[in-house]
Amino acid sequence: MTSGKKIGLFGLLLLATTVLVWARADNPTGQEAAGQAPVLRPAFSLPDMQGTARDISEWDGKLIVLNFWATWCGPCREEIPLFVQLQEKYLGRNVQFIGVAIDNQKAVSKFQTQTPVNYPLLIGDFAAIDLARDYGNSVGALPYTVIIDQQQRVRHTHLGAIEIDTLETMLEALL
Amino acid sequence: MTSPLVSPVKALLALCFCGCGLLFSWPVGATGQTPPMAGLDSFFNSGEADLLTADEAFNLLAESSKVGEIRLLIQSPPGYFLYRDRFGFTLDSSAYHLGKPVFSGTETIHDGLTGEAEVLADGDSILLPFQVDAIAPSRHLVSPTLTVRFQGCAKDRFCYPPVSRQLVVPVLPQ
Repeated sequence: MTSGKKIGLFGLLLLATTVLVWARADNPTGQEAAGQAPVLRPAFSLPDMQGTARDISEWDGKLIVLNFWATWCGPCREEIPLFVQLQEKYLGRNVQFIGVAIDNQKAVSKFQTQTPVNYPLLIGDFAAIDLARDYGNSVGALPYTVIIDQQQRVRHTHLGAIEIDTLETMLEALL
Repeated sequence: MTSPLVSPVKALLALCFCGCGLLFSWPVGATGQTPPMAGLDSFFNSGEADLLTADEAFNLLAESSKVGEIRLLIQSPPGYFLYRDRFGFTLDSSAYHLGKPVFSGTETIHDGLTGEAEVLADGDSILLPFQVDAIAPSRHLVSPTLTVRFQGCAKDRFCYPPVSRQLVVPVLPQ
């Protein structure tokens, strides 16, 4: 084999490895690529701002962005206006944002007077931290965002404030 | 004639081995523990192997180096902080009466939509003065248990729900 061919072959193999590693790190649907099948979302029911019990199954068939947050959490409060923007943008595309507040109704109501929210806010109080854990939040911190696909499968989880561009990319890939 | 270079087949096998190693050695969780839904572990979190629970992130050391005082020293990683106004303190013994806490080393931060907030971080301390009930039987003057309630965050990343920590305080004799 000539040295030119060897260099070419080495370059090709290097490129293949780079693509493999890149896909593992950045592919939003990488769970499947790594052999990890998506898991069905845990069922739950929580009261909304009016005190009406809302079951997560109510939104089955939609692409759901489930956001665990609290009024006492700065990063949570900062990202909610971005979610409001995205809910407006994706309203006609079967995307549903849902907020689960690790908080009481009074605190959330006060927050809403300053920051109007255009998607359902469910009141979970501190007990809903356990629900967040059921959804994979092993650290127990907020904000924590989960994307559930149209087949009720959890496709992504994210601890901490999420970049709007990142979230849009994830949504577009699942629509 | 033997080539001085590694054969293409060997090179391919080596690269495949390295690639597989990278695929399966990626961090799986904050503390090496398998989360409840390991299959959901996000690739967005895959680079955040430093994620800590509140218990892991915040350590409080209690000491009583002076009569009538308890000193709490905060230990936390860089970038983690506790809100000054979200601390709460109670002692389990009625023989002791806590005074107003004195916070030292606080820093003011801009906290999202809540405005400015005073916070404490690694190395900062809290002085808790206390008095002993004059008529308390001596058998009640054992080392009391101090319950500290606090709430903190990793700056610009995430926040923890309020946490309670119980500390046995080695109170000096009066």
